[in-house]
Amino acid sequence: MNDKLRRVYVPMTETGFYILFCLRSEMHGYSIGQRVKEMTDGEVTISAGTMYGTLSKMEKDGLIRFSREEEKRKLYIITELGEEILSLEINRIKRLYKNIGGI
Amino acid sequence: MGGKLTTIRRVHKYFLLYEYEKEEQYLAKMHANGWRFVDTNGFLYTFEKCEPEQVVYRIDFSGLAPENRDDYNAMFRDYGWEYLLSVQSHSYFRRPAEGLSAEEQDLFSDTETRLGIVRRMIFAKVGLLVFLLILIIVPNILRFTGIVRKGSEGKWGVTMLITYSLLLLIYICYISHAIRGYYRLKKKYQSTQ
Repeated sequence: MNDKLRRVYVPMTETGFYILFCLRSEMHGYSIGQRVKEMTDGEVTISAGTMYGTLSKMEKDGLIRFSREEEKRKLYIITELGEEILSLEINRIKRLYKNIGGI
Repeated sequence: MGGKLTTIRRVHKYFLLYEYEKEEQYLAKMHANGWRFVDTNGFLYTFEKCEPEQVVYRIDFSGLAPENRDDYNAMFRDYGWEYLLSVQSHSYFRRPAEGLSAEEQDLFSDTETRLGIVRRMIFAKVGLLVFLLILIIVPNILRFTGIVRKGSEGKWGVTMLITYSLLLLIYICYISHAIRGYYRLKKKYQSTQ
């Protein structure tokens, strides 16, 4: 992984994190938004433009890739590079949590 | 049936690049007054008579070619937005405002993506203008300055030099206006986060 991507994505925005986290299984934009809402009891909403923009950027940077199309909706899935960045980010958040007296 | 002509209204209006929020508000106000937005070419807005309703209008700048917009439009539709039309990569959307949360009324839920779109919108236009400036206006100014100096073409050379100088001035005003507009929006979004 190059340093530039690491600088851009670690740490990640909450929106970015949830999108990447959801894409460990194949999904399309709107369903990611719905899933994130459920996961966070409606606290985190990702609007249409933000969802589209983030997916395009992550696809361009190779964190996710287009997997197939379903009724004109593009489905995406995380790539190896995406997994790598996600685990960096998860470790960072775990450390943060530990240091503020979590586990 | 007979009154079709009277139900259409055309309004001349122009919004600068970074005034898209003003444009959104204008369209919403028209709809609340019983005029539904139908079409625009950037200068002329067409409305048709409708029941007054509170409707949210939003403008996005996708930069996508029409043939690549299927997935984009499908996603916005899933979210509840009605896609209206696109004019020079600006896409117009609307949805009834009733019962919507603030987030649902917005196309962007974080400052970063919102600013990204504004940046793309403004700099796409400014980039084109700078390109034309360097390619056409500057060479012509140099050329006519040369002609005027030599005095070979008389009044014609002077007229052309003045014309191109005026164009240069307009360009510079427009470009600096657009860039200032961008920074104004940036400041606004970052302070309201």
